Amino acid sequence: MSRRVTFVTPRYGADVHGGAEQGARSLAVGLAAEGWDVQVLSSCARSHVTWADEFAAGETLEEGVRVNRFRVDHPRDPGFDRLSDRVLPKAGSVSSAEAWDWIDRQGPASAALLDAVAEVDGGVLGFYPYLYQPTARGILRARVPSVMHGACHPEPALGLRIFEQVFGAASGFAHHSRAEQDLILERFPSTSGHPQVVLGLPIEVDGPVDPERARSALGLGDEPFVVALGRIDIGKGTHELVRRFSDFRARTGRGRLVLAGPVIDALPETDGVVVLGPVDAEHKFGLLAAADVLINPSPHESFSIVVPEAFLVGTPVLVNGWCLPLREHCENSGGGLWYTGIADFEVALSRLLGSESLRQNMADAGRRYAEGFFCWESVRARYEALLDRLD
Amino acid sequence: MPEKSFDINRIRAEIEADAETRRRQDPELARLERDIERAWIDVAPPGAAGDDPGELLLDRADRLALIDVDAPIGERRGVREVKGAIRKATYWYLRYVTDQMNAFSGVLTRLLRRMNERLDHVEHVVGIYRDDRELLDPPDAPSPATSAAIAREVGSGRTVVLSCGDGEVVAALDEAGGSAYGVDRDAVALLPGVERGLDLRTGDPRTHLVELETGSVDGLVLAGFVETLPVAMLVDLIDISLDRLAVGGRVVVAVADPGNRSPIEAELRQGRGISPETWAHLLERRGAAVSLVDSPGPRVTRLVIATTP
Repeated sequence: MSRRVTFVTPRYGADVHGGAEQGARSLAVGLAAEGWDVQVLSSCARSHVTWADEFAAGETLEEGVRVNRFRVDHPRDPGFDRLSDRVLPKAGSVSSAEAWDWIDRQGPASAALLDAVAEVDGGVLGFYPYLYQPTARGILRARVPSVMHGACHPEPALGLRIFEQVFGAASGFAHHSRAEQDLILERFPSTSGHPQVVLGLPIEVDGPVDPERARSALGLGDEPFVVALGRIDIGKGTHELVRRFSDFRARTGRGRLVLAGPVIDALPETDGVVVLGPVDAEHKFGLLAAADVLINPSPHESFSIVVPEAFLVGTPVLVNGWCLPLREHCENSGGGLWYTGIADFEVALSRLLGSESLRQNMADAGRRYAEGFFCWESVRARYEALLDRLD
Repeated sequence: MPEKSFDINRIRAEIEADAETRRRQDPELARLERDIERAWIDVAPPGAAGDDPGELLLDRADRLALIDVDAPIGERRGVREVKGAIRKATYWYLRYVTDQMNAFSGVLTRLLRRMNERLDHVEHVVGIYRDDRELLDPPDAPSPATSAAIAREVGSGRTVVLSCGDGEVVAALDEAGGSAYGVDRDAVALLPGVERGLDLRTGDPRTHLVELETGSVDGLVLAGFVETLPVAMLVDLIDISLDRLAVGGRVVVAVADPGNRSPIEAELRQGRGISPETWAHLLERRGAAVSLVDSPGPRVTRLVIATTP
């Protein structure tokens, strides 16, 4: 008999950006391809900023996965940011009622989606990620064993005390990284007795890897460059990176930084920095392969898909060492370096740009790591072992 | 072409040493980095900042001290109503109790903060964790001749050299057929050894020792940093060292006698470091078989060799 898994996510779809959402999709599609009975329950929203219903409600079959989408009860509350400013600084001491109100107003709020979660009567429920209403309220209504794919990173909301109840309700945990597991064990010590695994995510190169074509299509010419791929967002560390890179360029007179991803917070025009905006799947891997180095400046990640993706196309990485999951990729692979200050950022970048053989060696080490730990077979085996323990 | 001798740990050590050199040359850069570190420690996950900063724990204590009387009532129809009724009926009573407990917890956390401040002050005055690198150069690493003598005493097996400097002792141990690595706080000092291909790591030697597992090494060489620690910490260090050694393992202590210090060093390091004879005495008291052997010097003239029972 095939195994049955129902994933619950706030948004779902091939064109939905977001690490947790992409992770849920890659796992769902992979398991469905293996003959598992995989269903996804999600909202009709595409944007996590508005939660507006953009997908049609109802059931569709997408890449072998049955996807059921439900309308949201209301779009994102316009007063939500003000509410966050009040609630999050004292997250550990607000009442449960206030915390639940924050969750509901954050969205996506969908009573129909929660009812559907409560109606699942077989198999396992997989909740992705911890922060939104479908998980926070849904896991408390689950009638079957549930796996929390928390995608946690240190952030004020994790301090809300209602999450002790939410995490306590999970039957098992699939962590993106050892650092995420440590964080959850420290925040919710009672979860230590639950079955859990450091799952990571299945990573594959699912687009053409043609550096020359990407250079030409994106107007990057022949000059070398380093790339940062992801949301251009203050919270993702992009602006801090641009400042550091600019200082580096002023001091050394070399280097070009290419930023690719949706622009959330606009950047001032900066010498040596090229902002491409979103890059389609056609050129994503070509761009990564064409770069000398991928830089991930984000302080808040639970996994970072783009790091192993860069390894797979032969590009070493330089990451923000204050983000432990990023550092973990580098320590485990030998394919990356990290920085925590200004001096080590500049020295490491100089070193990487100055030695092709170093980049080559690191990329080789990174590729071996990504292929070994995050190939589909390896991730599926870990997930299966976790589900075995829940049965 | 890939490098034949690719060693990512060596690359990282070299980068850290280069970065440290830049910080030393540019005080403004060092100041900026300290500001960055302070900003990050407030939001960084446990482990990112190395040693767990007490401030994080105190903040956590503040948050956890508040008892929430508004118990969750869940979602299930029926159960929710019952729980809601219980909550409403008991609110006045629980609130009366929790208000008193919250007030008490508030006083306790304020007291903890006060004690923490006073402890910081005492530590500063007593100088337990005083970083005297700005006042004095660190003790010189053992000479090549002394390093060779240390290697002869340690023998083969897995050995850790604490305060390894440029790695002379590690090199001597490797040549003698052992498997050794060194730890030193000074990334710049160990760079020449790293470039020679030695396994030298940047870090605090004492912290590194504490983090080793029980019985995990065959040999320990204690040098340099132990000459800057007060006696009480040295006594603890002896217990930890003997615990980390495998059965039959050896500790070799390579220190200069404080009695031979120059007047400046004697005054600035007053109460820190002990003579080889005192090391031998303390190790013996902890059950180790101890001997003192002459060393070629010039600074370290006697080695203390202690074998675990």
